[in-house]
Amino acid sequence: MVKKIRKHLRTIVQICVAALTNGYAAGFAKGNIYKGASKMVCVPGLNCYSCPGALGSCPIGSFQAVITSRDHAFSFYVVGFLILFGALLGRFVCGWLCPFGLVQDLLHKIPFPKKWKKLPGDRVLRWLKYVILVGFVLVLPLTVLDVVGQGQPWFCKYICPSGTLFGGIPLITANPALQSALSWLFTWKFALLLVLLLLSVVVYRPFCRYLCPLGAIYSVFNPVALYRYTVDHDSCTACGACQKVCPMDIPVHQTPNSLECIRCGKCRDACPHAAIHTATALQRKKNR
Amino acid sequence: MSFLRRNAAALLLLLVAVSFLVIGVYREETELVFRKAIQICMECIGLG
Amino acid sequence: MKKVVLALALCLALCFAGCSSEDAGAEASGGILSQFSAQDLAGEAVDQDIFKDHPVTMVNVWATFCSPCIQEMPDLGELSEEYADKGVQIVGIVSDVLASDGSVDGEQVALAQEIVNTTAAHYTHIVPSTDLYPLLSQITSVPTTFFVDENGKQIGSGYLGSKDKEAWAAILDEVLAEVGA
Repeated sequence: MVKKIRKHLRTIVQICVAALTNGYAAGFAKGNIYKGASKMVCVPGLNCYSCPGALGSCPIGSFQAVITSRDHAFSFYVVGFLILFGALLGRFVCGWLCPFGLVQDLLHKIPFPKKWKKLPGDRVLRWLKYVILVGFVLVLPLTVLDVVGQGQPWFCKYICPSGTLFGGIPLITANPALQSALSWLFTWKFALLLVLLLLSVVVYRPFCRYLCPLGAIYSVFNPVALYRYTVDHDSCTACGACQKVCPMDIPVHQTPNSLECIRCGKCRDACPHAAIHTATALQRKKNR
Repeated sequence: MSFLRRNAAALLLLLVAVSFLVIGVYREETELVFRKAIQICMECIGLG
Repeated sequence: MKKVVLALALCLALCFAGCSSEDAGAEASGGILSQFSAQDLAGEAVDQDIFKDHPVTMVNVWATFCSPCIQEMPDLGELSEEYADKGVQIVGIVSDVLASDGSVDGEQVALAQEIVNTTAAHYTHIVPSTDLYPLLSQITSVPTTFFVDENGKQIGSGYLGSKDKEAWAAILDEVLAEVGA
């Protein structure tokens, strides 16, 4: 039993976190959203505050909410949360705490004749998420203003598939009055969501690798976060087993804290010499 | 190397994070987040 | 295998939850506007008497941060003038001028007034008071628009999201026909 739990620990944690942070069941039934005080707190993953179940707020959505108002061009509060989660966990958030990451993980388990390790153009595509971060989360919301000087949440509005999946679809399903408000925007976002979901069957986590601005933010913390990996070069033989098993195709023995690593831990399980550790674990091992 | 030395960057960042959170609360950004988070953002769910 | 089953169960639960739908927008107001007292943006008192002389009042709940709301306000301003002689008035309710402790946020009120001036939506805009909390708590998205009669009771259904001028005119004509004015 314990062994089974260990094997599926990450998925279990992902499901529990998704359920906990989206526990407002009444929202799903009635087609509305939670209005309690916890909504002013950011959750670490990409979890839209318009999701009927959401008890907290998405950091990307909240950031845009603050900077689109006339009085602020920067949000200390939300950036504070981002640095907090980043410095503690880095992209562990992506691998263990993000509901949309969970969806992509589950879809990737669906069998398919030929699974790809990456999309063509992977090396360039990886930078797209940083472009989206700067362009759609920062610049456009700050510069394209309405008649009274307020901006719009460009990433949320035009791109975010998590909002469409967890917010749009349940709300439209439960609330017929919303259905008459549908427009071309929903068609676009739904198409984008569908493409990403289908792609997830073939490629591992396409949204996280190429598009997610939140992952882009957490990625820069990977090399310094409290939760990070180190390679014990006394044990490592550079056999490459880690890279072979890595769903993101990272040469872990060379770059254990790559910006692309979402801390799934498959490399650690696969290493025949047990050379990959979390930074704290390795220190404990050396101290013995 | 001690835990503090090896994780100096992370610990410093944590300090920055906490200060930013405090500054944000002081600037009443929490009100702003709350006000928007309790109304369905029609655009966010694709109903612009 | 277990993971797949769990995931499917979650999806099914979501679907079932979604199926037990209510026309949330439509039953929003009921008779909630039949008795209330509040203020408008200028600080003048407003109560249910505002509906007295109009067979149809279009109530448009909006928020200062909501761009679809702001985009339709010029049209609403024009409609309020064009339909005035048919006994229709338009009343706005600004849903984000209160702080989380319920007090009126002066800066937000100023912003709302600025939006009203810029969009020429020169009809009454109500600042919610505690009397309007029951109504507001049912409003989860903006803009939400519904219609009431002289007694503040709802006519017909509610509408979520913004519309263009022609669409609103058509709906107004429908409501007027229903009321027989």
